[in-house]
Amino acid sequence: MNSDIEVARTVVGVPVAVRIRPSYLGMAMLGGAVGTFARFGLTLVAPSWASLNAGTMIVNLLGPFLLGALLQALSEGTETSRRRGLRIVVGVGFLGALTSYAELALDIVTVAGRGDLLLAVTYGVGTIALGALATWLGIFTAARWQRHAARHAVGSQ
Amino acid sequence: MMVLSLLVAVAGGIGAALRLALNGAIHRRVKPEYPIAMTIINVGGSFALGLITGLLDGRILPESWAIALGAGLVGGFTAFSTTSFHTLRLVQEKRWWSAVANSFGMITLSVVVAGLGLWLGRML
Repeated sequence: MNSDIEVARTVVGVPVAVRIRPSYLGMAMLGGAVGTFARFGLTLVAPSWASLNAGTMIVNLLGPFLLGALLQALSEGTETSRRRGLRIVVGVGFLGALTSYAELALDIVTVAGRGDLLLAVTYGVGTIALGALATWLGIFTAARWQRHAARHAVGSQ
Repeated sequence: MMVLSLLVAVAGGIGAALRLALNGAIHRRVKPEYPIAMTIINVGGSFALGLITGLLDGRILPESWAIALGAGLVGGFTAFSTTSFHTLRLVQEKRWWSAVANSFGMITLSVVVAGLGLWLGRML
């Protein structure tokens, strides 16, 4: 696996696990608390159909999209402690906790338990596929914006 | 409701920090070429949420506890966004079997253990 949130790439390109420092845990906790609060609040106000919550669907699309955009935006240039901090607070903490994999699994169990197997499978496969697509869209959007910003910087010189 | 929301948020923060710590601990021992740590976290968390919900159904766990632990701790611990990112990475690297395992394999396993946890929680 290449460089992502918890894995840094060394200069020779070999992926290594980042040694977790106590300050990283504090940063993840901070972002995680805000992300959990946002998810919980959204599921409380969002409507539900057939025991599926619209808030859960929104965070499961928004979370991967924003994570893809964030990691793409932070992927170019040299690695700094500020970049790593952003990755941990926003990527690991906020966006990680904004989504809940366990909730997705339990929702599928609940729908299947009511006997609606078709909806259970459709919801599971659909969420997984759309999550990956949303990640790609996030990366694509951030990359486009980066190119646009780079052209702008050149043009204004 | 405000007090419960804050409790959920704090629990979620602890869950996210636990996820980061466990991820680091696992991938210091196992090479991070395949995101096995997130598999363990998401499958384990799915079992825990099933169990918590089962214990709530069986009136063993009070509702506020079930919400703080389920939506909070387990919600912050597991992450769909990170796993979606890993799946896309595996697709981009053309590691098809790993991509299928990390997406459909993981959700199948998680649904099975969540159902098992739910059943177990209701039995207790």
